[in-house]
Amino acid sequence: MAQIFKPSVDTFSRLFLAGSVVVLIGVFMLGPVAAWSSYQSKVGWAVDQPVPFSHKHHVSGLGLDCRFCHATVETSAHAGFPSTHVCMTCHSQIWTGSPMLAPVRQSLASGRPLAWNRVSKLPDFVFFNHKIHIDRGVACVECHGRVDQMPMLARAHPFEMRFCLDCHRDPAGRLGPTDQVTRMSPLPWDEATHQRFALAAARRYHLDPARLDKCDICHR
Amino acid sequence: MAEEEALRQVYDIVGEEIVDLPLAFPARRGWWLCFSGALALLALWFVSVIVLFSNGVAVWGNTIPVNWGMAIINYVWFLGIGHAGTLISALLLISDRNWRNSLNRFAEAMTLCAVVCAGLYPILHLGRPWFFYWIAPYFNSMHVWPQFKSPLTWDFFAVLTYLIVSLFFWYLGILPDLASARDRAKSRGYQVFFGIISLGWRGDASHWARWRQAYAITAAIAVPLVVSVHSEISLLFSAGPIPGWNSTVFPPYFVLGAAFSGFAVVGIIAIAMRAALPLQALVTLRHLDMLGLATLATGMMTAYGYFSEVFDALYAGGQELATLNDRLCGHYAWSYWGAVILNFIPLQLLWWRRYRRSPRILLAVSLSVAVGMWMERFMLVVTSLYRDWLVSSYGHYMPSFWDWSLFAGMGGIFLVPFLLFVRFLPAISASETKDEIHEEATDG
Amino acid sequence: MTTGWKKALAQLHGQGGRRFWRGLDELADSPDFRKALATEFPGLASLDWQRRDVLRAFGASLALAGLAGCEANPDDRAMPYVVDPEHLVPGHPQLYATAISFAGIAQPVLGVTNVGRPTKLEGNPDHPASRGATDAFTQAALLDLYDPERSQVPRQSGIPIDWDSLDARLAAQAAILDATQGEGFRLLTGATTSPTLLRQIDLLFARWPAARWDVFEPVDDSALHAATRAAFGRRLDVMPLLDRAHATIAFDADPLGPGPYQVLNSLRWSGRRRAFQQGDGRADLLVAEPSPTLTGGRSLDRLVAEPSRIRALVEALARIFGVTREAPALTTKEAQWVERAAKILAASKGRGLVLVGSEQPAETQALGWAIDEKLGNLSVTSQFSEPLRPSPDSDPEQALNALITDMAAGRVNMLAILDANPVYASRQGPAFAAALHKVELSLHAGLWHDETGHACRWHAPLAHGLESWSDGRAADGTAVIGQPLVRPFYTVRPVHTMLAAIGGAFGISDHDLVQQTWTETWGTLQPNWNQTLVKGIAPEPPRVALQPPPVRLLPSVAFARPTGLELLVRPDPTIWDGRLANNPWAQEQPKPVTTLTWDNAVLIAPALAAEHDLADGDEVRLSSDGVSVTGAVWVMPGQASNTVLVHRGYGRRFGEVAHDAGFDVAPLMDQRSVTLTPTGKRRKLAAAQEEHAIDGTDLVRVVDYLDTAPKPPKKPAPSFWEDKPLTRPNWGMSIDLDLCTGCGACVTACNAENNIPMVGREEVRNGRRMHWLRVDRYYEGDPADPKLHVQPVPCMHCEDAPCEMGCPVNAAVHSPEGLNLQVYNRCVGTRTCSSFCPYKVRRFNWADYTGGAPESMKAQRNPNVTVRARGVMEKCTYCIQRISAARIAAKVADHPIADGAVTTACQQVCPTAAISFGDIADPAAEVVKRKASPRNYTLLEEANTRPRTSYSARIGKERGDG
Repeated sequence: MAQIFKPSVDTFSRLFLAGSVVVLIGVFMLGPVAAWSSYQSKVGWAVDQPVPFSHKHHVSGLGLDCRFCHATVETSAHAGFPSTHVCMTCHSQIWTGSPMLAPVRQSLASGRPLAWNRVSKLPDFVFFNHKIHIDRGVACVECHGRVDQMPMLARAHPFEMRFCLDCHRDPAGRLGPTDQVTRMSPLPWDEATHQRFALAAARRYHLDPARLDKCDICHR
Repeated sequence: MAEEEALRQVYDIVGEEIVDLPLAFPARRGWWLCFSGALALLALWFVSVIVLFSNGVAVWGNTIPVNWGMAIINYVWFLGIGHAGTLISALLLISDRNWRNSLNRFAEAMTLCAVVCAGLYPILHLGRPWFFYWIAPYFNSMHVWPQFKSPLTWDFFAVLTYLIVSLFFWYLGILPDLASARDRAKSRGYQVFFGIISLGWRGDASHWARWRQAYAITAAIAVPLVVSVHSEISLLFSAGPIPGWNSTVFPPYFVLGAAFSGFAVVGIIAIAMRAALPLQALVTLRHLDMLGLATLATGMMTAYGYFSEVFDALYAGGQELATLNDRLCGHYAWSYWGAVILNFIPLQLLWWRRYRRSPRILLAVSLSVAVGMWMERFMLVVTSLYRDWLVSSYGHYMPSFWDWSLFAGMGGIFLVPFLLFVRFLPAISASETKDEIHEEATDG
Repeated sequence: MTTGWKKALAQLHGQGGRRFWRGLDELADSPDFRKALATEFPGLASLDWQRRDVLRAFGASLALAGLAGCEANPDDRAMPYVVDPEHLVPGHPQLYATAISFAGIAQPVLGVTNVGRPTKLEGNPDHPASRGATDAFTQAALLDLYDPERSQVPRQSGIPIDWDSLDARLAAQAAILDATQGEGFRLLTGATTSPTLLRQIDLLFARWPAARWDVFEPVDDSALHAATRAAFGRRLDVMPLLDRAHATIAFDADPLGPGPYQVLNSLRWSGRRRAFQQGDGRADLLVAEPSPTLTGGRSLDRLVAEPSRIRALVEALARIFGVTREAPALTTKEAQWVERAAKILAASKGRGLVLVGSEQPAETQALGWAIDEKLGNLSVTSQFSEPLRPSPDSDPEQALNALITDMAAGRVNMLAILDANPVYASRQGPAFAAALHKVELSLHAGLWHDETGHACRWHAPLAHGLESWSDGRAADGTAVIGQPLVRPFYTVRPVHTMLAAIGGAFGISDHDLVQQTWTETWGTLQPNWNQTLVKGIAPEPPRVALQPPPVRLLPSVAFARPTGLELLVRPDPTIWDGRLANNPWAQEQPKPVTTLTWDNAVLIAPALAAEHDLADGDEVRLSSDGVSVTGAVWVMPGQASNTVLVHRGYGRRFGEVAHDAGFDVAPLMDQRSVTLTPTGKRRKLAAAQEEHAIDGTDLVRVVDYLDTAPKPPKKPAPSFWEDKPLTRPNWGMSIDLDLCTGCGACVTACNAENNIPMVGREEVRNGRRMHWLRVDRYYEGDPADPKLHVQPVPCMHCEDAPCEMGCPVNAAVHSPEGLNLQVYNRCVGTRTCSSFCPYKVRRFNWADYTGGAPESMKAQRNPNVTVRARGVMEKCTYCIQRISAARIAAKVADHPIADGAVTTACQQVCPTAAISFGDIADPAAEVVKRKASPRNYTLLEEANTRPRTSYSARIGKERGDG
């Protein structure tokens, strides 16, 4: 009886079997890979804004403190956005005619708020409180990165649960002196100093990782 | 010589009867009738699921306190049915009971379809089905793992394992027959089709040797699953502090009940196929007799489970007793008595050989058992929840239209692949039947 | 940025930054703006751009979009203020001392606002009439502010017009009235205690002497006033001083029941009760009543007596103390009860209180006062004062009839109805509506364009109490000033401004009018004004309690026991006279006694039901000389067998929420007896609880006073779980069933605090209501005369929680602080936790209950609580958001969380302080003291879940009580 298949089919079928296994695994990998990619976490993706505001210029250039604009960061859960009025405190004096700033002037004139595109966002079931983090000496740079080097602001870390947990499960290392929270450049400390400070701070604040990584700390 | 000749002829007959089935299917019109019916049910399933997903579980009858309803009832029921397949093939293979050979193939196919239905239910049952994969342990950006104390987490593993193993076991078993189907096929299309799925089986000695090893090993893996899976499912209930659930008898009780319902359904299918396709020579009255015995045995054990439950309640008193009372004469007493009557009264006929050997009687008994076991699942889920502890949270449960339509739709999920299997694959294990005949012949 | 958005904001051009918010308020109802909101911020309610709140409102849709696992919508915008408002720190709630008027009585509250939106009302802790507590009505009143069906524009014969045209008309009319001394002008207001409104009215009628002012309040004190006029010769308010009453005998009186005085009465009663618990004196309460009430539920011995028997009972009691000579015939049961009442009264001579319901005829009430007088109780346990809610008419019923005849006769050319709804709420409604056509200028001013609004030619939308300045008097008579928490959402007018406009004076702000009043009272505005705004109490010379003049006994008018069934028409316990009918919180609040929601019913006794072979939901027709209403029956254990009780407030003819709920009882309102005939139809009633009989269970424990001696603590039952260390803080709750009256304020407070969705009649019927906290209602013993029990059931926060081991995805977990957490965003909805929960306190979002809410109502939501999505399990969290706030505050201040720093919403609102919450690891905490009491027990001990919520047993039998 005539053969139905050429001998080469054997090889193909073997390849196919092996291949399908690989493909299957690949598919299962794809999900996590996508979820962990910066495509998902938006890390390093500069966001365009109605006004091309440069943190680089204002922070490292002019040396403005974060709290000048994000005024409620020490007192409230929300860091707070600068009102148009705040922008105009300076820009009614300098760059008054700049076309770049037209939207700002227009906003003040019309009373219509500037619509900034969010860079650091959390889902609505996550309750992050700036106040307590600042109070414990967690520097802005820990989460928001070197904004002093960002002409256009981009997310420096994935604002995902793993990122929060990494710190909450090992908080000590992230703590710095409270008067240095807005400092952008790394502290001029050696490893030992870091260690000493971390331990002291952890003791001082009774930090308990076993407590800090419990759901109710962030979810209500 | 003459013997060998005779034997060869018998083989050919067997070959024709089984392997040629797909190639020259006898009951085409009947099959199409069934198949279109099954397709209609499948369509109903899709409608029900779309309705469910677009509105949420609210379309069902579930409430607080009865927040588990048809979904869980049918989940347990389908999974139970599935058990017989594995039990028949694997356990009887290992214990070398040859009469299984005409039954095991479609029993396994039935298992597969049932497990698929069972597997779908818990997912549809979820409030947010699109996150069902959170029950699986995988590296996620949330750094959260499933909760391994929960019986549901283990349900997930149990059902998945069960599905994979039975699939493998079934395919392994059917492999030689696919090959012979390929060889007997006349049309090119069938040759290619069977050629591909028979993975180049040539039936030389080494193939057979490896095949037997693999088959035996898989069977050995499958057997413990029969016990473990349904024991595990039973924990879904007995782990909760709910009167009527929180009982140690549950694991064996569930496994036996599962086998019981499973044998019944195998009986139904065997008799149906026997009538639809000319298989009387292969699925003989002896097979039905055996099935009847198995059903009777597991049935009586299940009955024992009922007794021990009642005893527990009487012994425990308090809430347990109250629940028993609710079951016997409460709002849902019909489900309890329905289960008791349908499961055990007709069953008693099977003590007599001649009833076991009468397809009609066996069919009737099997049907009543299948229904009865469904009622038992209903009774288990609903009567425990609708009046559990606090008087203030007593409630009622009434399945909605969409509960029923989904159940009917699951029939489609079950039948469509099964009918395709009957139509296009050798539904009975030719090779093993030949073995059997061979052995009998040589034993003289 | 969508065009709709542009268009909406374009309307703001030319308005300076400072005016931005007002601009937005005024804009809030423009269709463009709404469309823009819908497209730009799906789910964002109104006027606030805080990120948290934006996301808050996203809740459901976010999770549905499958994003719950990862991140928020990638392109939502941050919209900072143009100019920062002063003193507003986004994320810090602001509290304002203000007041909400209910039936004219001001309820002193603290309004909580988040970035400009009022999100919760708390009782004013500094105010003696509140002490931080409120009733369910006040809690629900907040939602009216956000009611999308509130009237938003003036109307002429139903057609929207602008204010100018209405003002023009009013101005013209005022000119005419000035000429005619106000001839033919009639003003009809709801009851009010507002000094400013009264001052305005006085001024107006000084100007227009020929005009006339009437008050229409559906549920008023006129019956009481009639009695006091008869007994004391003048109209007086009589407040029971339950805090001083060691023995109270109530005849068809319900001081603890719903109503404007509930909070004050409950405060006083619980004060006495608590003292008694600590062994100081007694707190005996005996009640004789036709149908179960909250007061009856608290009583030591409750006598089921139909209204017409009350007279005989009071007489019998009076006779024992030699007040009268009549010897009425009593049944043995009645005789025994009176016997016991007399014994109790005698035991607490001079500190007793006889309360006769104001529904009773004057002479019966007088007899009650006479007994008190005789025993020297009267001046001690009752407080007499000038009517709190002044009314020009001694008999409002007559006055209303007179008004109708005048209107019909064309003697009225202008009728202004301020904040009243006679067309619906009065028996003469249809006649009133008909007569209105004869009035040349009929104007209705109210919060809704309701029945009366439709019947009047002109309609003017009023501002909600939280949108406007006003003042008023609290239940105890102290004056309070109500300041707005938010600018009006719509182009509406405060009631004071409206009244001024009626007088032809326009553009006068409510703020000025109120200030003027108080400048006159105080002589100078400051510093009192600012203090008042801070503390919420307007300083005044203390009101001297009137010495009651000697009681004039009245000849007992022999009245025949009415033929047929005795009819009682009472205000509804959750929507009162119908004023809360369009309020979902009020509608879904289970009625304290029947646990019915969304409907009123014909309450009948089990015996009567058996006689007519009726079951819950069977429809019957109640008829009495010509008039009849049909409604579904509800079998009420403990009701007098030949009494029929119906509640007012239903059968409204307007409102998405209000209409087709229940039936209107107006036609029967002045009937005393009815005949009952089944119609054979059935209506679907939605009760929150199906079964009530708890005989043979110990769910609600009752102990003898003498049993309250300390007992050795039981050692815990063995458990598979390892003991968790009791680290600080470790939260727990204790609920005193001896103090809980079952008023249900806690349930509504929980709704407001925790963004709990209302699900509607059908879903309640399906057993799918979402209340995190429920008040269970039980009956014990003979259905004809059962013992009544209530039991609030929040999550028990079990130490060994079955739900936690059931959840496959770690959504139900235990916190080191002992909280039984439910992590919504992790929940996949297997519902195992609920199946395993012995207390069935868990609630499941069967459908998307939150996404579909009206935009405006979403603005009420608490920004610190996640809005739950479809398919997610939820339950009481012990107000974890408040715990978190306290924790963070304590951390920053670097000290442990002090006892009382965290109060749950239910605890805070409770008028009897029945709920105590705190750190059970802190030996000084009050909750620990409570749990140490021998009355302490946990629900379903046999389930061995070790709950953190425990109960204090009721004291069933008082000391020295037979």
